[in-house]
Amino acid sequence: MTKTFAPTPQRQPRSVGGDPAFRAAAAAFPAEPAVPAAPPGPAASAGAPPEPNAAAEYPADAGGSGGAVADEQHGAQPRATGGAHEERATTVPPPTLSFAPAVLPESKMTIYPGVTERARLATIKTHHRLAESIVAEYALEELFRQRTDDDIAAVLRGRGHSLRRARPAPRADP
Amino acid sequence: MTDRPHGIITVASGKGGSGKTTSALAIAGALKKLGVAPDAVMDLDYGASLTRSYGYTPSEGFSEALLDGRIGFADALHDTNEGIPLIPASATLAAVEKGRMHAWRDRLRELGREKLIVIDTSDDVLSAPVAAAILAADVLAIPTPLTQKAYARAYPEIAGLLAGQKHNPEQVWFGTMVDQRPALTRQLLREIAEDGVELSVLIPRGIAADEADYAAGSVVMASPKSKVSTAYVELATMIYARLRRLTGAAPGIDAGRPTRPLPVAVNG
Ligand SMILES: Nc1ncnc2c1ncn2[C@@H]1O[C@H](COP(=O)(O)OP(=O)(O)O)[C@@H](O)[C@H]1O
Ligand SMILES: [Mg+2]
Repeated sequence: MTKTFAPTPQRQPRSVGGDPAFRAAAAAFPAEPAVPAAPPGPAASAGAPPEPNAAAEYPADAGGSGGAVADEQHGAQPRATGGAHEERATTVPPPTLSFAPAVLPESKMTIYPGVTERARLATIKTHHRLAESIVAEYALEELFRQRTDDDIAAVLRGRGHSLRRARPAPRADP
Repeated sequence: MTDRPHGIITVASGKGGSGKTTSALAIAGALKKLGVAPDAVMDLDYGASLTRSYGYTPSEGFSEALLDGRIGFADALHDTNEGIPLIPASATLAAVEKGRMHAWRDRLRELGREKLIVIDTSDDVLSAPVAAAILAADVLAIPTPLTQKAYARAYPEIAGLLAGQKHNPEQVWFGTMVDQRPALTRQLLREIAEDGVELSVLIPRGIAADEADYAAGSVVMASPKSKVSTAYVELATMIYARLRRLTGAAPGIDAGRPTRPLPVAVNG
């Protein structure tokens, strides 16, 4: 690569440290637990030797919240009461679940199979060697067996798919 | 060490509407165009706007299931028009307790050792999913809209979060929605520069960015010749260079023709 890049810019705006939100955020999460809680999942790189990756060099967050860091840098400013920090740290922000139904393009796809099915398939695959194409083939057979084309369309529509007329329309929309 | 490009690129900002989702899509699309297609784009916004942008109706939280270890990486992937697999989100992300943050962060770091993943977040920086994505990031891509005086309020939480956890990803700040009406833009650019922040690329305001939604993909895919796309390709080149420095991943990138800088100067 011939391109050269500017040196790494400042890590953060200089003005930001005095912001109460900065100080609250610095204390928002507790120290890293001694034993990592992450269970090794199926995609884990188990057994891989540690790599000289930046991720491996992240210092442990031992020693508590970064409140100390914030204090160090901005010692002149009075620290907010511990109570405020506690509240900030433990209050889950109100979930904003009321996002509007798709405003944008009408969705072309819906997410199937679901997490449950995939998790079960993953479990089965830990015991048996199994190609997913076999599962798909079986599921297709099940769907098509003893159903008319219109029934199949109805089943798919029932799962939330909007079936549009093919172009040019061969027959009346079902 | 894997010689494939790998790492976590998290797009984050405490400001809604700053261009996070547009940028996550475009960075992923631009990386693909540069020959380093991400292994996945992950949606960690409870609003699931990235999931929608790729044309999916949010129904189940695949990103959540993956980071909980309930499903494997391959099982979380969904096809997209763009040819970059999506890991969709659902609204249940809003209910993820803070206690799960560390496990999610560690899981993301683990994934980042093998996979190249671009993550879109919500503006709820201190929620567990977003904090995990920020604290697992190798590169933090921070969109800075140059449309309003939002700059000062947008980042203290990200900065505080990083200070609190002693984590130090590469930060790539870039301007979004930059238009050529000079007065406000120049004033904002000056303020930002005085604050010690260097904007690496300015993404112009352009209708192409909005239109991309209708193609269920990134602006880079939908309007490859637009100025918006060109700027995102330049941004992706910079992001990738930073990532390489960190992870030592193979170049794998075709830097291509140098792109022209935008004609908006910081100092007028
Ligand atoms: N460069 C741009 N030019 C014009 N419109 C843009 C640009 N970037 C983003 N937008 C528009 O701004 C709005 C907010 O962007 P979005 O990416 O959804 O922000 P966020 O994810 O931070 O909420 C969207 O309607 C998007 O299409
Ligand atoms: Mg968004």
